[in-house]
Amino acid sequence: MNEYMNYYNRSIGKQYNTEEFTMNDWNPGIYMNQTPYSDAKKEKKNSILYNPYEGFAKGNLFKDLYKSYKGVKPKILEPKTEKMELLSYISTYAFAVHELNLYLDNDPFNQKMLEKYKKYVEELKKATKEYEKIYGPLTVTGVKQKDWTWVNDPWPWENN
Amino acid sequence: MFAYQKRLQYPIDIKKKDLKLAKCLLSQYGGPYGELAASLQYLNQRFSMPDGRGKALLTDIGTEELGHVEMICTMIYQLMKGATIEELKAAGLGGQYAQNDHALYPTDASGVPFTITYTQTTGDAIADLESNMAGEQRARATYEHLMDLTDDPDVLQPLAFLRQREIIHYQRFKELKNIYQKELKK
Ligand SMILES: [Fe+2]
Repeated sequence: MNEYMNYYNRSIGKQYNTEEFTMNDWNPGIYMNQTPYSDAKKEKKNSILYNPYEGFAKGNLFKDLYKSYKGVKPKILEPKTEKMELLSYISTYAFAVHELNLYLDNDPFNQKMLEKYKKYVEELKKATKEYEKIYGPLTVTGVKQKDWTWVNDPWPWENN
Repeated sequence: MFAYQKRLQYPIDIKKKDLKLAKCLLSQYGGPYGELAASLQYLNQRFSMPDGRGKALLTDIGTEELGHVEMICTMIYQLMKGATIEELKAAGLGGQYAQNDHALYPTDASGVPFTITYTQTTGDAIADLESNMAGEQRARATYEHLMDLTDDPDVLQPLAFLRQREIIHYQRFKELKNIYQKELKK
């Protein structure tokens, strides 16, 4: 049993339920001698972030941008094996990292968002290391077994 | 340089064969508003973005769209798995079988092969970003049509995920366009 078990319970656990992020100390800074970007401040957009679990289930980490279609309810993943538990955790944090990545591209001097980004990257790196040690590489440089496990099935498009 | 990650952006595990739906999903693979066109368009446009923010955003969204190509292909592959020739014929995929067997090939839902003329590049950042915003809206609409066509939760969840991504991409392109428009005025 690895420490990333109980994906579903963790997602509804207290420690994640309250994780919301409000951008109140907006500090855009100067980028390439251009006027700082302040649209988001004016529109009060993108101010609250879902926790990574909810954001991943919804495909959207930014509460103000989420719009569902025809009442299709996003489902928190319920992984069936230990391997899938850990992979779901990785995909969840990789998603949160990617969402903040796109955000920061447009607003590179948002220190608070950058801090959050770094925190999620740490979480992602830790879990990835653990996964590659037990189940095999996620990227080709992640082979930690004595054999060349990169070629092992299943590949991502195969049912597991 | 690109490096592959051996996982999908969002997990897909479809258990029920559905060839007619697979045929419709081809629209998001090799169709005019599909993921392949989006990816190639952004990865191509990034070379002429005026500064680092644009180069980064187009690189990062273009790369994510490649991951979406993989998700769409995965859905088509799993929906068609184990299909007999009779079943393929009945679903209007006889021609697909004749040319490609069970292999994937980027066409639209009617079997028209993918063409690079689906993509747009002008070298003008505002025009390109406007075009990307429209592209994201078209992709969102296509995902809604696809969601209308199924009630299999194994298909609906990843489709709903992909639809949300278009909403985010639209927003980020719009923000960047607004930034550039303001700055270019000076
Ligand atoms: Fe997109």
